[in-house]
Amino acid sequence: MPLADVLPSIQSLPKADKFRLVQLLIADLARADGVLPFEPGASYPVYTPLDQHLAASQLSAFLDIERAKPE
Amino acid sequence: MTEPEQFPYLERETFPGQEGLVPLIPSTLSRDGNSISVQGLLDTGAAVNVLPHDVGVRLGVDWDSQTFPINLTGTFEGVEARGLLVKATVGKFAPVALAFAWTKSDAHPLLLGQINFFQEFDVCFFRSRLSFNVAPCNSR
Repeated sequence: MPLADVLPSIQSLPKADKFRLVQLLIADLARADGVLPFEPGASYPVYTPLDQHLAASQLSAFLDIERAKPE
Repeated sequence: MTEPEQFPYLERETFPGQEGLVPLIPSTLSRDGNSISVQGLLDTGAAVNVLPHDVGVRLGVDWDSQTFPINLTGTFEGVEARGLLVKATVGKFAPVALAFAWTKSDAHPLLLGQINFFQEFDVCFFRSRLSFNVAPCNSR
């Protein structure tokens, strides 16, 4: 598929997805060159929502509400 | 008592090779008659299950139909999330209801965290063997 065809779709992506796409492309190029995935000095995203007490209590409340609904 | 089922560590698409092997668990998510196959990352440090936006869309869920707000912070600061309940079938086990913080972003993997995946399943990791065992909590 020509780049010109996909470019409009890429440009309309949200900012976070553009970053994700860049990460995927870099990883793809690195893989092709046999480069190890972790590089000294590089930074990598940490997705883990650690210590999210408010979100945890909200999701627990949501779960209780949903479970109380009739099937 | 239900016997645990063993799963292998799997490669993440972005990190090939031994270094990229992580506990990804294959499962089927269902809601309102729609079912999709996914792989969820077992994240013991995650307070909640987190669902990328596109997975909810593939399940046929309308974002605006979900109104229960979930306030994520830290790495998810500024990412809007809403509660979403789905049925999840893991391995040979009976389906369970999983609650997710369904985000407006696709920049993260599907995360299975303390609420409520680890309330439903006991997991034992064997990194040296590149496998992990899973059993429903109610099988004890």
